[in-house]
Amino acid sequence: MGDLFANLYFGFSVSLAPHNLLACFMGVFVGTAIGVLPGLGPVATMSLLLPITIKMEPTAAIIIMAGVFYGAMYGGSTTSILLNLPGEASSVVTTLDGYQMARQGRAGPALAICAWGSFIAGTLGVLGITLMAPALAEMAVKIGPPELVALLCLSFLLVVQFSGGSRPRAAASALLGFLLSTIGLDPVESTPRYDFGTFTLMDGVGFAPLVIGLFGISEVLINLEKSEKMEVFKGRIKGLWPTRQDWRDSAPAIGRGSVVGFFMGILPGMGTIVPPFLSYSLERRISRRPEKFGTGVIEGVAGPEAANNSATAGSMIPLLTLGIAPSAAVAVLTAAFLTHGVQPGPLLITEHPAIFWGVVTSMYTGNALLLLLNLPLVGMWARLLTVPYRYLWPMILLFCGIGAYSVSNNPVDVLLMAAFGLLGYMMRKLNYPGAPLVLAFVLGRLFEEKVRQSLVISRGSYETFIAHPLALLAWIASAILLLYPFFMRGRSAPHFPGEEEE
Amino acid sequence: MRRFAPPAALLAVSILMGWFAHRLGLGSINRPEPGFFPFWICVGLAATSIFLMTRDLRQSPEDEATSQAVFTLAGYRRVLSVMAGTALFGLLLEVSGFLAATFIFMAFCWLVIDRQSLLRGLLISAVASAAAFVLFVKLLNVHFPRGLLGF
Repeated sequence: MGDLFANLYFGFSVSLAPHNLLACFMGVFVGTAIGVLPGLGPVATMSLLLPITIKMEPTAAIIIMAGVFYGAMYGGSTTSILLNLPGEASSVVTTLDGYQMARQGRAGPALAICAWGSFIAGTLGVLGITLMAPALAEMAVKIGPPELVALLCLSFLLVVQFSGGSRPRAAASALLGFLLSTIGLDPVESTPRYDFGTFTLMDGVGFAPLVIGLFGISEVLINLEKSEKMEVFKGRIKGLWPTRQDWRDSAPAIGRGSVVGFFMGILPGMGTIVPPFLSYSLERRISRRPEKFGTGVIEGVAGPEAANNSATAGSMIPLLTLGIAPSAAVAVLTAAFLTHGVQPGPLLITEHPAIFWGVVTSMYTGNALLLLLNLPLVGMWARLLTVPYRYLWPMILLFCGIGAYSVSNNPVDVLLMAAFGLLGYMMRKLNYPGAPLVLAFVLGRLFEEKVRQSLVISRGSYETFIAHPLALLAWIASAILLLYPFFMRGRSAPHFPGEEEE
Repeated sequence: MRRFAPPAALLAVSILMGWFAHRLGLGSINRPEPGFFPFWICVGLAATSIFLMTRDLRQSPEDEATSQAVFTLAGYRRVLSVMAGTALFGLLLEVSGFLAATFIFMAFCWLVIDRQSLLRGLLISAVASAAAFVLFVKLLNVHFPRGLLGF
């Protein structure tokens, strides 16, 4: 325990340094803004920031990116409540009761409980990271390539299973991502693959053009098709301090949402979309007034909002302990670590303690800053919604172009981004989820590398993949996941509105 | 038919890429070579595409009608215009430099795609390009090509 406090003290001394504090503020501010504005999600925004943060010191760069990620979860609820339009896919469920509360003149308490619930859940989630990550990282050091192969395989299957919508389409999307990850030099023999004689492709497909195109450009294209005008809430937002009854109704929901969100967030494929739905279902199931859900009950807002915020913290655990990204947004964070020459994973805590503890403690500060930003300034965020989209989209496209170009100063990346934008648009129109593609793209290369490394070490024997109990457990779980659809035949996969994993 | 097209395209991609992978050399299951993984990914993708195609062939006419309504001619035009504009920005960056490329791109978006009035479109394009130049080049120090115009 003494070590824990010493580490926290060290972490706060890093994250409270003026430049890191400023980075944290910038991150959560931008995160809230893009969360409020429907049309640009955290994945695309983080990808846009990736090249800009290259010149920054690694800790500040990762603090700013993480700030955007969890800040967007706070901002997303504002539009859900005031406009019945989720700013983020993870805030879809908040529209159900949040908007009804606003219609009944209770927008203030709804926004307040969202902010407080997000703060409490976010802080509990970071506490979970603080307590669990060091122990898990210590265990993860003992994980070799064969065990990692089994865990990666389980991650792929979880992503396909839970990305929402049709599983075969999710599988096709993941396989396409895996195929894209094989472009460039082969990880073992350095033989060029699919480069078609070009230097650009010899380096592989860039992460930034892929993600910016797939999520940023496609989002703009989809939004350009929507002709309806947003009805902006014009009334004065009153009662930003929840009543005692509101607290009594919300507190248990926030507690349950925090736990559900945190543990679901750890699992690959869950992201921040599934946990709010599970929390909402749970609250309705155990409520004494389930028939009231959907008519403006505060638990229906508090639980899901807590769940999506603690899920962001939970999803950091696989990254910080194993180096595995469980969601598209965390995949961008992985890219941020790698861009700065830092390998996320079990050795992060010992090799880069300032980054690890600096980032973790910045999340405590960030959550407090978000509470300050979201409660007194809620009127300002609501006014942001009055900016017409016709003035925003060319700027978003420009930022996308700049983001794609400036990672490697290569104009071909802008063309690649446009091509991935078209692919992303088609995929969204045809209900092919984008998250499995991004995750398979990020993890695919690691998977191939570890399989081939394991085979070299074991001299071609496949027994190595089941020799370790952890690997065996992961294979059994994978087999269950593979067979699950056959047992559940006739029941459709859960489909969540706003399939995009951000 | 339109829902049939994406898996058919995926099948074509998997056949083409699988053929390239095969040429790289597969090795054996105990000693995979560079083409091994891409080849088997392509096999998986082809199998998934065939499954999707056979499943979508069985879809009802109502589903087909709904899927056809997904894409419209106006939508295609807008998508292609945005793609063309973005590609133009990429191509112009090296030739004309960041500021000019940004101005042309913004003007294209606001005048051609969004159909704003000429004066208004040019004015907001100029303001937006200047703001982007100050933010990215001056404040954030992002390096962009200077182009023929020297800025």
